[in-house]
Amino acid sequence: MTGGEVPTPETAEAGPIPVVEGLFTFPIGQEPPRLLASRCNACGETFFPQRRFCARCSSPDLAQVLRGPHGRLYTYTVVYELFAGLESLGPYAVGQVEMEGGLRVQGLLTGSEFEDLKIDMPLELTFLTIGTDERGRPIVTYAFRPAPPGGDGP
Amino acid sequence: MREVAVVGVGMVRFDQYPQRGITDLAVEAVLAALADAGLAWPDVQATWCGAAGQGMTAGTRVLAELGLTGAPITTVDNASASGSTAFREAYLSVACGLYDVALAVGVGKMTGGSGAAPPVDRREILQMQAMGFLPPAGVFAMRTRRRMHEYGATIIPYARVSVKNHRHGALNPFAQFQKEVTLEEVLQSRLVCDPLTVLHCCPISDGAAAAVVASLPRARRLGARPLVRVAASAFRSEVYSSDGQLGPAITELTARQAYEEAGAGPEDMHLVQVHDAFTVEEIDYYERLGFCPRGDGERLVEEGATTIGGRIPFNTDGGLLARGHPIGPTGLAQVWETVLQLRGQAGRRQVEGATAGLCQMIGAGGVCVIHILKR
Repeated sequence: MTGGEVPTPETAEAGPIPVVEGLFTFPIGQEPPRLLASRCNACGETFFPQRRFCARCSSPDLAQVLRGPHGRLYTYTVVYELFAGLESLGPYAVGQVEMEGGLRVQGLLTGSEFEDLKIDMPLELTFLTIGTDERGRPIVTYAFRPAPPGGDGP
Repeated sequence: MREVAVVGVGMVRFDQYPQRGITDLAVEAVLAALADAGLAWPDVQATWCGAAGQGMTAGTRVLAELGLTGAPITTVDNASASGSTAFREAYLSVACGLYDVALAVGVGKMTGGSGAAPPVDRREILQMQAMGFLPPAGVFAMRTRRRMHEYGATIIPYARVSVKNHRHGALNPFAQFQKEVTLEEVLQSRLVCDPLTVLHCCPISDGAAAAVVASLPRARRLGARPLVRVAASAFRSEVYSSDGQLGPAITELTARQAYEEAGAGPEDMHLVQVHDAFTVEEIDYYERLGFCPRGDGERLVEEGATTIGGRIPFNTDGGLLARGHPIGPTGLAQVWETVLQLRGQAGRRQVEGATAGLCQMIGAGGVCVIHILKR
């Protein structure tokens, strides 16, 4: 529903690039991606995206941790109407996904019809191509797709 | 701290004014507030101007039109809460004894391209999409979807907030929309972010609003009409909460502070104005401001408790949904409405016997500002 197909390791030579650095593990081929989160060594709270100071206790002592790939859909929307200049993006689905330890992560939802989205459905991380750069390289981000039945939940 | 009264209010009807600039709008509101107070611009000892995204030093630029008196002017940007923050600063300056007369004005022009310009660079657009870009309606669509799930609600109670606030707006000659809408119209209007249609969302507006505050002795010398006092001014920035939702938690904390300062509780309020940029917010705030337990908000609007004539009318001027939301002045429009109501000058939308009103605003970023006014 959003973006194109998932790049495979064979196309990796064509140089898929992450849309921004520091959000998820890369390169493609090491599926599924994991999210790069911060865990506060002082109070134990975890954040995504990563932070320099803890939002809860202001400690600068944060360590990078990996989160995912499993989660559950906490809530979602389908964006139909966008600001002028952004129309080419839509429509697309966005969710908040609850991961282990209660960490809530926002991301694009893929691999499901809009009408099949349901709060509490099990999801897993995947790569999603959301465009190409001027050299034709796929630009990828993380996204959530329905987890196959019987998969281990968070 | 000294007691402070609101001695004058004025506003320009919120609407879309493609031909009018912010100076024109702000000056009209300031002159209306000064006339209401029986004061002139040179009487104002200090001004705070709430203006979100209106360019550098919007306050000094627009007020220069009225004459260069030398009185300090400060521009305040706290997104939707800019006008409320300006009001608080003007109030504090008089309360602490620095001045006897201070002005708060808010101005906002969202038409004509002076709002936030969307990025044009393709890479920049894709970067926004990295975590799933959400326009404001998308954030509140997700919150609506979650509330519906938690409380077993349909979209109907949220749509009823829009119906109610448009009904209030139809009674307010200063509202952008002065026409009632039906439940069917709300449900069948254009889908913006599922499940929210456009009538669940506040419009794009231009406008200005102003309020003059004065020390009690000065206020008494100005005239005999019912004196409206500032009973509480509470202000907080966001406190970390793992649910990451701006608005509900911060409103609860700020309200607690405001009620304590006023020596009053929700049961003492006769009308309430809140940041209903999206319908679900008003229902969240029923609960967070203490007017019903968690999970009962939907029932409160369904029962008609928050309509004019009900137990506790909310957004008596139409709220952001119908009165409009030019961002910077919106908090001062709430003060305008509350002052008129407490003076008994609200015409067809008058809440009978109102002596205490609460104004709540949320500003993206985020902040919450709550004022309690009493007659």
